[in-house]
Amino acid sequence: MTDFLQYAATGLAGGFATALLALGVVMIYRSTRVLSFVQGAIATLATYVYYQLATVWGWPVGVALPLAIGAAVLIGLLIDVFAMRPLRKADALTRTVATLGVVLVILVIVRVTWHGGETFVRPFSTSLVRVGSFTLGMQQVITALVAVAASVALVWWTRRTYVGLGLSAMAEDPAAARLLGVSPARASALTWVIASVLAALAGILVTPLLVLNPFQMTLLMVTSYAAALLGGFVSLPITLLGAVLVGAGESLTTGYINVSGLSETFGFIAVFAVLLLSRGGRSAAAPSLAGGTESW
Amino acid sequence: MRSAQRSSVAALALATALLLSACGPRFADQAVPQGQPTANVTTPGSTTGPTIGPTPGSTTRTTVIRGSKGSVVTGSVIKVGGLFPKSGGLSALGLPAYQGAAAFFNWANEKNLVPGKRFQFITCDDQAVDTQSTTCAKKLIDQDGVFIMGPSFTPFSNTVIEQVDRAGVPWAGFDGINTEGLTRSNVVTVGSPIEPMAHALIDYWYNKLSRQGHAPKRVGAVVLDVAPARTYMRELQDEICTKLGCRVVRQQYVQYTTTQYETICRNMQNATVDAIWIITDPASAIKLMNGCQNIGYPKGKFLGQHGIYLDLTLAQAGPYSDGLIANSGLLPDTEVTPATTEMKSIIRRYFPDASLGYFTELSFASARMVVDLVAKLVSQGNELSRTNLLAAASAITNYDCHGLCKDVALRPPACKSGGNHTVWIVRADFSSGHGRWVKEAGPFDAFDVQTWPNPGKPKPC
Repeated sequence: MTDFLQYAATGLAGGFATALLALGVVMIYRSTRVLSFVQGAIATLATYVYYQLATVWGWPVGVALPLAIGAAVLIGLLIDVFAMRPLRKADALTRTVATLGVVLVILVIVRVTWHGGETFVRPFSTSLVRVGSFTLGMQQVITALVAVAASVALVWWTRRTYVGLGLSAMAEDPAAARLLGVSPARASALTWVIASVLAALAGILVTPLLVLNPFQMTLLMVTSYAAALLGGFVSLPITLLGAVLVGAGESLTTGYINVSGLSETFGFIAVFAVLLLSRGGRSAAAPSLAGGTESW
Repeated sequence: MRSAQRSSVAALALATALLLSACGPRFADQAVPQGQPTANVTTPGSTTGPTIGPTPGSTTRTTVIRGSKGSVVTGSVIKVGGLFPKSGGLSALGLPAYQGAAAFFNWANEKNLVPGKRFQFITCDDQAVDTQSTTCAKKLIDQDGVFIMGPSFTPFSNTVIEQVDRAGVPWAGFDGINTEGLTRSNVVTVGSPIEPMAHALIDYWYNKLSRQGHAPKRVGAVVLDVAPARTYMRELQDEICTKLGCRVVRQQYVQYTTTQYETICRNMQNATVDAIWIITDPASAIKLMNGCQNIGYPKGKFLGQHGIYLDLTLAQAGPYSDGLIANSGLLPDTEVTPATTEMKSIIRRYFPDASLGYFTELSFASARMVVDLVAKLVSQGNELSRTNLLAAASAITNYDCHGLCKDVALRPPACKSGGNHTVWIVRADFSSGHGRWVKEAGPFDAFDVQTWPNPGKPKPC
């Protein structure tokens, strides 16, 4: 039982980074009906910016981190302006495919700029936190706290503020939302900025525990889709819960089933399982891209 | 509707095109077309990439007769091919390895080490993917017309070795990792085969702890799920531990994409292993040590093979890696000798940030070996042909890599696990505050350790 709890706790900590990516996916889907594949790539690019500032140039974290987050804001805006707005008349499926194109553009930028090699980012802290018999790295604790805080803030913002409610309204009924004064262009830009910042936080927080290369974060996206699916691409709290559950599942798989590559495919298996269990993929869990065009 | 369909098709086309450009092999260096003036060769992958190849503006011509054994260089430019994973999952090893070789070829050209000849080091980024290694080798041989394959780091080269051999191209600078390569008639190497290196490391570690009064009985292993690492693992299970009396109580295979290192360490902790043998690339080793550190796993209980003997490992795993031991088939660069001082000076001249370690040094020594062989042929007035180059290599049975290796027969005996079997043991040391590798033991003969099945000789064929 102790082993089980240890494995689960370890996985939960890892799941919070995935949650940050998944929250971005959900935010974009909620307000634009676009299934974004680009969160991992945004995380990668923002983390490379952070690496350049903090590691290569040796700037203090207090300077490098805000600048990297600022870069993420810019990336989000650029995606909105150059990829989403030109397709504002297209359906959600088309815009979803466009996010794949953006992924590849970003990966090319990363490879051209940083040559695609593996490199590393220092953690904010290497100290340990002991809770009873459990030991966790401070970096993991920071990641968990940021993910929970982001989730709580987003839930509050989308339910309690005019702008946040406006984003949800845009997805439900764009015409009615416009009549209520919600600007589609501004809503789209804001969504992409928020999602990009979440992705940047995920990348900068999780990369020190792993390795920085062009593909690591994009691979983590698979797990985040599983989490987003569990939340029906709508619920932020359930997405957070889903991410940590999937993280725990990966950890338990590694702990108990020692088969090469199995834990790496756990995200795929989880996605498949959620789709199967959600009544053949027809429930709220399965995102629909068949909606009509949205006039922004 | 039609507009939407067009948009979809356009987006898909864009995605496909970019996917191809992003994921295909990187033919990093431009080779000189047959009979055309030579051009600069840049070195992607480094922000401080030097020019490697003929002097800018040179009009010298390369005339390599391609595609058959006995190809001859009659011009002044000698094209040497190299395979390196400069990007992808093994780039933490591949890039410094490339830099080691590129630095020496550049130095050789700059110092005119072979009068009248210049080396053009044409490399291809195979991303450590076996199919791309094959594509790269074909491109280097058929398209670029390299005279020989030179220093390379390609642990997934089983098929490439055969491909290069079939093309009649010598591989002077083969890394020695895949033992299959050491049986090939076209291979010239100072690289260490992994099997005796595995025996030497575990044997040394076991006896060291035994002398201290606590012989390790329970071994854990974290293994990258690729062929060379599996060979190490097989040696450990089938032969080494059988003879020493230890037991592999937990083995965990990982991929480049594995992220669950905290859990892997908990597994090791729960299995109460005496040490974790890391048989992975350096990036995975760093992830493992970071994961272990995160769960409070005690430090100093790690050992690793020569792939993780790299400055990068210490820089990224930090003081937690203190006490980590690994093996090396070349004199550790932290030993202050004229050979290591010169090597570091040359590499740093062109690549100030290069991470030094076994494979960086191996590439450097291999490039130097290529230059030595060419210089020997030229100085003797012999035709610069592939056949003559292999013959010259065959005659050298005690090559010392200018002080970096010991008595290596450049053409390994046509038998499994021949080649360079001198071994040094290195240890991560943070006693000075900064991490560095220090020599802990060696040199000794890996064939002479007690677990080796055929003492003093390669394994029976």
